[in-house]
Amino acid sequence: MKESLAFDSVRKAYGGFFALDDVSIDIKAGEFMTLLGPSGSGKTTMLMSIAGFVEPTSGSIRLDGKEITHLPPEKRNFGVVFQGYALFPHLTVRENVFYPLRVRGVPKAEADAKIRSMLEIVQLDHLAERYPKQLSGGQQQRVALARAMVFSPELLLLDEPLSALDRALRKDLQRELKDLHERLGTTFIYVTHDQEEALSMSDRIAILRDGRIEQLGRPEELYEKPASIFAANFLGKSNFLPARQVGCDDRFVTYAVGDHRFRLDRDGVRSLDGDISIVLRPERLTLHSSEEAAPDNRMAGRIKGVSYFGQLYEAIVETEVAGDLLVSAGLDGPAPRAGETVWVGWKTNVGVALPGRPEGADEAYD
Amino acid sequence: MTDVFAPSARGGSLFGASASFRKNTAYWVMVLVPAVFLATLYLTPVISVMVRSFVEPTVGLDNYATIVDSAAIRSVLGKTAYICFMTTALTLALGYVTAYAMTHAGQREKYVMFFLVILSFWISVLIRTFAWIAVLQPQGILNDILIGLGLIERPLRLVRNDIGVIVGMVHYMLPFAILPLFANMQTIDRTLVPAARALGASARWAFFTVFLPLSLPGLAGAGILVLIFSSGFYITPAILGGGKVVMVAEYISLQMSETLKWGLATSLATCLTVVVLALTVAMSRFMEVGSAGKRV
Repeated sequence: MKESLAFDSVRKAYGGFFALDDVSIDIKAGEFMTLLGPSGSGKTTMLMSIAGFVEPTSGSIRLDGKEITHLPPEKRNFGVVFQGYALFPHLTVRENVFYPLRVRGVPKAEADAKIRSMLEIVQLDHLAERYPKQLSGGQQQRVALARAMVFSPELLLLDEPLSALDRALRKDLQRELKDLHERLGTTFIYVTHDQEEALSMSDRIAILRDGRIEQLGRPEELYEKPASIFAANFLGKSNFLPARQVGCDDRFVTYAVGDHRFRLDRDGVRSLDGDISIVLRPERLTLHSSEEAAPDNRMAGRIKGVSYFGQLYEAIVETEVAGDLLVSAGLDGPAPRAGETVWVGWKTNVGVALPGRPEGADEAYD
Repeated sequence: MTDVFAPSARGGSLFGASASFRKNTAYWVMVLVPAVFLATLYLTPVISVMVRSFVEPTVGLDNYATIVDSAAIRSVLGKTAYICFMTTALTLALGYVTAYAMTHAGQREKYVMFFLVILSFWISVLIRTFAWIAVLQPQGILNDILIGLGLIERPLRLVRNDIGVIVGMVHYMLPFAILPLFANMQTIDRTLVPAARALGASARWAFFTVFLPLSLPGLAGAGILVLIFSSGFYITPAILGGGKVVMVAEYISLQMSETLKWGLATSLATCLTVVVLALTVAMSRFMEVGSAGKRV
């Protein structure tokens, strides 16, 4: 697949503070790329430097090999959907969508046809003569999308476009956005702090932290193989076992948490010295009533509390070895009950070993 | 159910009625006192002025006929309209730029600019007008500087003419334009202009197609406000015009105190009041249009 947009060691400094710190990334044409991170991580700065509103201090941004680092926004031909939609309140829906075509001097007949087909795609053809204030949040969002897409931009940049909507509507629009992406084939660059949104929509996700890309990969990779404790913490829920590596043969690596030992497949983990954390996702842990029923990696504990989420239970299991563990249990087995004594088990192919300990872990595990 | 709840509900509404009655009475008193005050001290003289314009020196429309016929009065009215128009246009232009800069300035700069705008309210209009004479007169600061720089050989005539009056009036009116313009611009979403640029508009095109149309209600409001104030302006034109530039307010005053033609003076005052009232109505219309423009 051809390269669409490339960042090459881009830095953006505000005084002594780096909003972007040596960011390099290749975004492929037609890709749905999500920039995910907490506030202040640099994700919006990154998007705005693609849009042309933020000029990098150093480094370069290229589109299909062509340098665009210092090009003003109006010369870039990118569609931008702003967080608050930024619809023009004095123009009707049709006039809003017409705006980028008018700027480009598109002939009236051609423009009309484009506006009509775009409004049909976002299902707003019946509201073309309304003003933005007369529309619901979801409808305004669709107008913003139509306006950003109608001139067939090379990229579509979306800055937390769904954050102002309620949860049910957000789900619908997530699906519609994904659908639109598939139909139009345009490269989408999507900024969000919502990990669920990122996981369900993206081809690839870049997790940002303090102006740097912490990890870049497909949603499954990021979720199954987080590269850092930050990434594991930010994307989904995790248990962190404070461990040391104590042995290694050609099939397994052996770890110890206190005196308790367990093994993970050697080809799934890095060999590490010193303090390490074993990341175990709650849904990869299983609950067993007896030691014999549990897999080799297991730990005794007592259920402290259970929450029911409709599609699953979440149990907090208090263990002597590793403190509290969060375990998800499906609805097929027996419902976990608070106070029960159980065995928590996991297979040798599910853990990830990472260097370091989560912040505040010392108090939590001692 | 009904039996249990009905009495308490009735009791509640009774209590509510008496409370709201007492509250209403208090409101009426609060409205009535200033209303009576205004009616006696404001409306009575205004009405007496209007009545006089029809009865002095003889009953009838003679005074209004004079206004229409007299070339001198026509020229005063023409001059007034011209000065008002120029003042309003210049004030709006300068005020718009200032309000735009304030809107887009950083938080601290915004406070400083706001303070400077408000500052001019603290100085009496009389003092400011005399200060302008000191600046603009032939031996004034401005002419001295220009001659000193060798830009001109003889002093420019900047007072006792239209220029002086317009400079003084624009200076006085500026805050009255800046504040409503600033208030209006504050309500314009700051992402709209960047959005227009992202859609392909140059900075200038984005301003003319997005920011300017959205600031029109503020511009109209500020314009009518300045126009109303200028139409009755007295001190500044009288001093900076130095008797050469006579606007309608000064002319009225002359008729009252010098020529003692009270009938003519009051009929001109009546005309002025009607014009101002008409402008006020237009302004309230524009304000409505302004809020309707948001199409809530």
